[in-house]
Amino acid sequence: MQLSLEYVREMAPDENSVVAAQKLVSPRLWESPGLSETALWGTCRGGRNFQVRVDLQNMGYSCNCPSRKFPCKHVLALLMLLATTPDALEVSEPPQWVREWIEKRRQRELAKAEKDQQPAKPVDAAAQAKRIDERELKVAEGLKQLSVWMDDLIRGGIAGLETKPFTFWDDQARRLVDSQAKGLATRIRNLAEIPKSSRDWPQRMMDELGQTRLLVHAYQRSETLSSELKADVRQLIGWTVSQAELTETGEVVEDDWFIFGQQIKDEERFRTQRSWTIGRKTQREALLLQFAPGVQGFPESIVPGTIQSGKLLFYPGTVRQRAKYQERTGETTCSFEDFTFGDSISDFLNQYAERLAQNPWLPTCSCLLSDVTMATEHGQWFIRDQEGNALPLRMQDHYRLLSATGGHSFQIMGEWNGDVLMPLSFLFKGQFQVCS
Amino acid sequence: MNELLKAALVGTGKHPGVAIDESNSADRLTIADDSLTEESRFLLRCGRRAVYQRAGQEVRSVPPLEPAPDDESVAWSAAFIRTMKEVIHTDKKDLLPEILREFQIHGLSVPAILLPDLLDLTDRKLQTAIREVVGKRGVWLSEFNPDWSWLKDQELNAEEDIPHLEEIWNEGTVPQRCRALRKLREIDAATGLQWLQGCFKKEKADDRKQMLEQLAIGLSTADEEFLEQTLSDRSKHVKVTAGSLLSQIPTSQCAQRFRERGQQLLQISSGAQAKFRLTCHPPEELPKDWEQDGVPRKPPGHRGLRALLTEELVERVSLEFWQEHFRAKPVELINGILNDDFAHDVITGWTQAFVKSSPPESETSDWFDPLWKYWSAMMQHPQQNVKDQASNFLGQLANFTDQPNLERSIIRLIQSQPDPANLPIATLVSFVPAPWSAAFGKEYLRVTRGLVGSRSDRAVYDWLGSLSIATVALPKECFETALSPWKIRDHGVPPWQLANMERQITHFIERIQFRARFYREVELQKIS
Repeated sequence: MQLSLEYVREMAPDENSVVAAQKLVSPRLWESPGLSETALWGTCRGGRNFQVRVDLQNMGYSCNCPSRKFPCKHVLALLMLLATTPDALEVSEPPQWVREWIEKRRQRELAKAEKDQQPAKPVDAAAQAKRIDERELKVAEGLKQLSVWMDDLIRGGIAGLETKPFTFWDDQARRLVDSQAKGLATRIRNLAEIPKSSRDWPQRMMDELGQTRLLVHAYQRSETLSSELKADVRQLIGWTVSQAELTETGEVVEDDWFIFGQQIKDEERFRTQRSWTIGRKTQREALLLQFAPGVQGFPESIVPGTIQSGKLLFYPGTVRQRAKYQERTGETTCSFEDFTFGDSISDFLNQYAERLAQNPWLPTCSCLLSDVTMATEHGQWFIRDQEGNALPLRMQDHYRLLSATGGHSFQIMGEWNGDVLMPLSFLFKGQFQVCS
Repeated sequence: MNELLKAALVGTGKHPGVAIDESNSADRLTIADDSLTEESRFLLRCGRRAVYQRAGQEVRSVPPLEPAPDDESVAWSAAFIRTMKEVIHTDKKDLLPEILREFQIHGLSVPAILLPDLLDLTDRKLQTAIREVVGKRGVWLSEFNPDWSWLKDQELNAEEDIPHLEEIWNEGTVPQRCRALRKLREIDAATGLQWLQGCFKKEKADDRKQMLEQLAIGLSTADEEFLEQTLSDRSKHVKVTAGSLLSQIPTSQCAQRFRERGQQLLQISSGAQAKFRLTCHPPEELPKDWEQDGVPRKPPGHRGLRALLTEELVERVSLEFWQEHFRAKPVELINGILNDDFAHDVITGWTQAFVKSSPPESETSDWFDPLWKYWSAMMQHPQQNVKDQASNFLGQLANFTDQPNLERSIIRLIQSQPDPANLPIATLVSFVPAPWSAAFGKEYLRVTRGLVGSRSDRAVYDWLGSLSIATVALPKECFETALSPWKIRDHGVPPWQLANMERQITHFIERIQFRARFYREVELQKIS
């Protein structure tokens, strides 16, 4: 298998992991490292021995070390060993502990595929309808309570909200969780971060409260919405899309998908990975979400800067932004120039407005612009197009972008939230670089 | 502030209703639902407006930025950038001076993407090196962040800097004022003296002492009068400082008085031996006139008063005086006093006087070798405080000779020892600036590898502590020797000690490999 050191480094969660892994890239530190067509394995020697396994079919990995970084330094080191000194690995049949792991993975994948292909189990329609009705009632009750709470809040005014403790927001969010409206609960919990966060926080608070109330209103009248918008609203409230529903209403798009940005966020009990990608032929944007509970790694290996051929399954909705891999046929090599970048901020904002018209609660969208330069005014940093129009940048790491580009034009790839652009990566003189 | 926001702030309960703005499309969208409360209607209106404003936000126009002069002709590889990031952000930061030096030697600028990381470094020594390798891009970039203004700070040596210094002198904290005074003394010693005279009496005793110490820069006969007055200061610490400074002005009356006392203190032995011998005769009590000239009364710690007086007096007399007075060379003077009870105190005084003579003059440079030899021997002293003193003085002495001579002195010391492993090698090699010469590096490696391969006692284990210094200081000519397989004698070594030795050597090899990789990559960049 051809594996580059660069690819392995891109897989690393941070630079320290790369440094730590490099120290383990020595055949003498590995006990019987091996390679087969399907797997890569080895036992890393140390105070404790750690068993490392990599599924070469989809780059899934496993290590029994207690690290909370994914992939851990042992997995990275084994992959680096393969990339740098493949001769150190004995080509053989996988040992039992690897075989069993691979078999289990295959069984899971098979079961999942079978489940996907099989006609849905005969469900007890009456019981299912009852469950849905019960949940609908719970959600409706929760939303009613939320409306009353918001009415009380705006009647009293938002001027004193900066003195409210976190529990003021969290208690209401917990009530919504009890009502099975987790999406709304997260929205309410996020409101706690607004007071005193900036000079214009009252305006932001008013906007967020208004949009949340608008969402509640839309849900309460969902029978008047189009099926796509209804799907958006239900997902925003907290309804999940079942596999059957996804298969039925989702859209499959085959393309070469360029992963141009990634963020990993630690939540309370799990981590969320958000990867932005764009198709070469279709120019469709997609947001790939992955969740990993506890110390587990993400199910799929998604590396920024790579171009993956395959099929994406888009979730139902108006804008059809969220997607998941349905099939991966491998990494492809094509020029970054094959991907279309916008060249006008004005056009980009118009496209954004069109998307908002479809889904007024659209939280973010991707933004790919070419021929932009850095600019600054009154302490705020922007990217500026050739027409002189500008988008404000999130105040973080703009110096690295400024330093790398030197005020010359470059191509930016980022995430726009309606207020600021968060740069995720950029192309400068044909070189792809992640903003970190 | 719009009316809707005002209402939201004070609350709809206290604010009269906000009329529909017919010019606002979002406001015109009314919802026909009688079950909605006033508050809900208000919030829905806010929500509609928010979406409307996000969708219809005006494009902002900003002026362009003057781009940086394009001086990045080298296309650095991603691997090289990673190597550099590893140095800046991990425990390899001690390699940074060497890396920056290499950039400078080859006339290269650091990769632009790394500039923010480098400009954020606050170490002053590193900043000096960074200034040389940031190129035009770095200078351009520093304009945008006030924290990086240090890049353009030039040495303060021009007339226009004096008003700035005066501002600091008048308004700064004590350490800032001392720094300003020191800089001014470098530029204009007379004005510095005037500033100090102007405020001296108003300052606290501790501050007076600290400020007075700055007169050591640019010290001359012009300062004598003020320092003589200061000898009658209320604070004994200020008096000591003034006396010490006066003794460094060879033509001062105070220096003359010390020389006269010195003649009484050290005398040629009256015995019949042909050998040159000196004896020391310190007073039993601190004489009044000595005290008036700033000799301290109370010895610190457990030292005796006579030992202290000896050291203090010898320190205050110029080294040339002793040579002239006794018509002897430094090595003869040191050998001459060695058998006296106060020999250690006399030599300590001479060493203090030597390290104060900055830069060393040709007359005093003969002192380096005998003093180095004496303090090297003291490193084997059974008392820890003497060892610490010796280590401190050797470190100071190392600044008073060139690197080849220092390296030769250390090699001679190692070779003259019956068992070099007993030397505090980590302390000694730390005095040699990096990079070491190839000859010194090879000799160090020869001895180290020999010890590790042939012995397994505690002294060898301690010797390996010097590897952490060698990882940074060994020149690239020694990499091959450093990286050739190491043989460790493991017979009879406790497992923990063996594991630690292996760990130290592995760490050393890794760092040397890293440095070798860096040099290879610089070579590749030069070729490309």
